[in-house]
Amino acid sequence: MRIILLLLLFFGMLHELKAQGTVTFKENIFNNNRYKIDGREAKAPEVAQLMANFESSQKKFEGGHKQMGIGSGTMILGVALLAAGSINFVNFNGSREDVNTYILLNGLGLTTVFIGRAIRKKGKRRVESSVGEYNLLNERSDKSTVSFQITPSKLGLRYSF
Amino acid sequence: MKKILTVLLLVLLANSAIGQDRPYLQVSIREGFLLQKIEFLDGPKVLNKVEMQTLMAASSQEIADLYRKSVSRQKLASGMAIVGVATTVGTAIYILTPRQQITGSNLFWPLLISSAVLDIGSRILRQNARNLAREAVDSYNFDRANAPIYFDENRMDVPLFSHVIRF
Repeated sequence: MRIILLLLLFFGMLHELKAQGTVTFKENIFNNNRYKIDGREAKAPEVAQLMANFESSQKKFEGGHKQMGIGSGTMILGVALLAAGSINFVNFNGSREDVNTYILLNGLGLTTVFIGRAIRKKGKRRVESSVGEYNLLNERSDKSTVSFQITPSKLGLRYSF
Repeated sequence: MKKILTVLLLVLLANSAIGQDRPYLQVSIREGFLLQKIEFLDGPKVLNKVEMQTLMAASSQEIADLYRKSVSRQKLASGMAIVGVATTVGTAIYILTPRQQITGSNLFWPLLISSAVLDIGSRILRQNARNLAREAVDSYNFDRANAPIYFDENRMDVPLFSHVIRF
């Protein structure tokens, strides 16, 4: 009888194995990451704080996030330069100087956009890999807890290894 | 007492087996200038399509659906990107070639608009594919499809009483 009771108890808990603090993310329209911790929306600093136990992931995440910001800034600067070039082109009157400015502004703008894009991409890769690392470490780490719980639908021990 | 201990041991073993056997997948996205490649990694090993499909199908139907959607979006996006580049090149050629005779139809605007639409559409689809792939892998790794209402904020079975022992 006791054995059956015990078995029933353990059978109930088999479904409750999980790691806490899982980070997932999705990209929005501007290709920025929107993070979620266990399905609850969170900002990047919160995610970094959550990673406190795994220092290398945390550093990678923070560095990558900063890099993404720098890349975005550079891209915006490049787009501004391109826009300036177009505005200059509107008041175009065919002089040698105008052509030179146009070429200079466009060349600079395009180069800046490409550099920004590359920096951003690198940062994004770092962020993504850091999140993956963190999730793996978090899931496989030793955070053994046993708890006794009563919920409206279930009663029993819950443990996570 | 001995029986109980054996049962306990067996349950623990079973649990650890469940916990360890599952591969942990990761998504790696290689973005080129035009196309992107979504790679699914199990550790250092890159999984091919068939392996992914079997893994996902073994987990749950929903996850398999997510993966399938992601792959089809990715394919469509690649096709659109290639056609988009073709129309862009077509526009450039159309502008640059001198026209011998005056034609009734002007192809410039249709070409330009279609290339813009294809470019934007393929970008959106690519992003969609990335998001779906991540969702599929996350659901697979953390078994979100099987976990009852765990990821919902207003889950119903909030513990009335809970005593946690940490060790």
